[in-house]
Amino acid sequence: MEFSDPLPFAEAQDKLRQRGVLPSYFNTYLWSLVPAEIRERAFFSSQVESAALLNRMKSYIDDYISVARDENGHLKAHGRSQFVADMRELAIREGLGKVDAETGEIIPQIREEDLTDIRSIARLQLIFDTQVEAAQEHGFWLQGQDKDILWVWPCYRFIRIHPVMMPRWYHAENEGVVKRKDDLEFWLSMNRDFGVPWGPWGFNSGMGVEDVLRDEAEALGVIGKGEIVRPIVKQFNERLSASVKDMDPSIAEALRRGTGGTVAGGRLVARERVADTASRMPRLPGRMEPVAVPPRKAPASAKISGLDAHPDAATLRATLTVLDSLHDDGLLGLVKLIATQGVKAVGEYVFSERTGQPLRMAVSALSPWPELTLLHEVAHWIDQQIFGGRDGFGSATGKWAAMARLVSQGETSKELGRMIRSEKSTVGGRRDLYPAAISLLKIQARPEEIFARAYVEWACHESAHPRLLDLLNYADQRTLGGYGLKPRDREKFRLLITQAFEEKGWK
Amino acid sequence: MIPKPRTPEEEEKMARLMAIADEREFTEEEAKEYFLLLGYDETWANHLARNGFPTE
Repeated sequence: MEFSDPLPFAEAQDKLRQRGVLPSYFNTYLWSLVPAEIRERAFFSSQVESAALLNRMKSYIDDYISVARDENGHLKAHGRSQFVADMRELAIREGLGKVDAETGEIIPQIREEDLTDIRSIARLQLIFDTQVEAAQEHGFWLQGQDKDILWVWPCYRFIRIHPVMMPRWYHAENEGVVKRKDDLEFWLSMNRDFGVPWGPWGFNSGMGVEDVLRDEAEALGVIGKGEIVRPIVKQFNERLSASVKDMDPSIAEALRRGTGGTVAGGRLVARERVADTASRMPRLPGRMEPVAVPPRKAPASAKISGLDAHPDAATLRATLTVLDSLHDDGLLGLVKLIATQGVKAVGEYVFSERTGQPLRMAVSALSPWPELTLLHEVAHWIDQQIFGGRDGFGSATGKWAAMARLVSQGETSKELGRMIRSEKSTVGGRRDLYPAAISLLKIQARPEEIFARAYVEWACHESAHPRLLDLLNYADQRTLGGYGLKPRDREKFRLLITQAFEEKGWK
Repeated sequence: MIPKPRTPEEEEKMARLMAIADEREFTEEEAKEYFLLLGYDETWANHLARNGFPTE
C-alpha cells in the first residue's frame, strides 16, 4: 500500500517514537514466539542485526509521519521511493545482504522481489508500508476508543482495501463482517501476524476496517438498541502485560542472546551496538605514501567517485596514485566507491547484468589491507569493463582468451584445485581444511579471482612501492592458500597484463 | 601462508578437530585452536575464529 498523504496526528507519532530499536538475528518465526507486548514496543525487522540501519529507518519513518521539515522548510522525508534508495545504500554500507548458503558470503547481486534480502525493493517497501501503516492504524484505533465516537460508530466492518495474490483464509472468510469494536477476541483473531486489534492485519494482508454507524449496527443486530460499547484500551494493555509474564523462559533467554538486550519489568531493553573496532583485523603499521604521477589522458582515479567519504580516504587516494602511475584507464565506466563495515566480505565490485555498467565498488572500513582490497576491486572493474561485458568478466567468459587460458591452466589454479579436491593442505598430505575453508578456496579458484590476484601482484611489483610490497607479504602470510600467485605464474601473468595494457595504449 | 610443521601431539589435536568439523561447526574456542594449529599467530587466530577469512 502506498501512503501518499502522511497523517501527522499525535497518536501515530507516539506509537513510533515509543518503539525502541531492537537489532536481532531472529527471523519472522522466532519473532512470532515473542510476546506482543515486546514486539509492540520494538522497532525491528526479521534478521536485521544492524542498530544503525534500524535507527535510520525509524528516524526516517518518524520524519515522514510527522511531516518534518529542515531549516529551509524542505521535507526531510519524501516517501517510500527515497526510503528504499537511502536504506538500500545504508544496508550495503553496513555489509548487510543475502548470504550465500554454500559460501557464507554476501551475494553481490540483488533480486528486487526477494523479501529475504534487506537490500531488495520488495523488502524495504514492505518495511516502510508496515511501519507507517502500523503507526497510523494504531492512531486511528486509539481515536476510535473515545466514548462519544464509540456511541456514534460502535462497530467496524472488516473490508478488503486492495487485492492480494493469496488472501489468508481467515481474512477471506470474514470479509465484510461487522463486529463490535470491543470484541477483542475477534479482532485479535484477525491479526495473527502482529497480535494487536488494529491494522495492519498481517504482512501484505490487504485488509482494513471502516466505521459502521449505530443505526446500521443495530439494524444488523450486532448490538442491541441503545447498547453501550466500552473502550478496550485498558483491557488490551492488561492482556499484553500478562503475555510477558507468561513468556517461555527459553524465548526470553534467546531474546537476550539474540539482541544483546535484557528482559526487565516486562520490557526488552536493547543494548545498542557501537562500531565494533574489535572486529577490525590488525593492520600492518605504517602509512601509504602517494607517488608522482606522469601526465595522463584518462587516469583511473578520475573515474572513481565517493572517495572523500571513505574513512580510509587518504590511504585509498595514495593507492590510486600508484594505479595512475602504472596505466591509463581507457573506457572504464564511472563507478562509485563506498565504505562498508564488512568483516568477512571486505571488498566488492558489482555491475548491472542489464546494462553492463558498474553499480558500485566497495572497500570495507574494516579491511585489514584496504590498499590491496582497492587494487583487487579495480582489477574486477577492468576485467569486466574492458575485457568482459554484460555477461561478466573477460577472464571468466573467455572474451579475454589469453587470460582465460592462463588463469585456468596456471600453477595457482592447479594448486587451489588440488587443495579443494583432496581437502588437504600443501604440507604432508594431512587433512586439515574444514568445510568453510574449502568454500573459501572455491571462491579463490574462480578465474576472475585469480586474475584479480594477478593484477594486484602486478601492480605491487611493477610500482615497486615499498608499502605495497610489504602488504603483499603481510597478506600472503595471513590468507588461506596465499594472497598472491604461485611463483611460477608471476612472470607469465606479468607479461600478459603488460602486453594487454600496451595493446590498449594504456602504458 | 606457509603451514608450520606439527608435532605428533598437534597432529592428534588437528585430527580431533577435523572429526568435529565433519559433525558440526566449530565453537569459537575450537576455531581458535584450529587456526593456531594452522600456524597463525594468536591475534590472527582470535580474529579468524571470530570472523572467518576475509574475502574480496
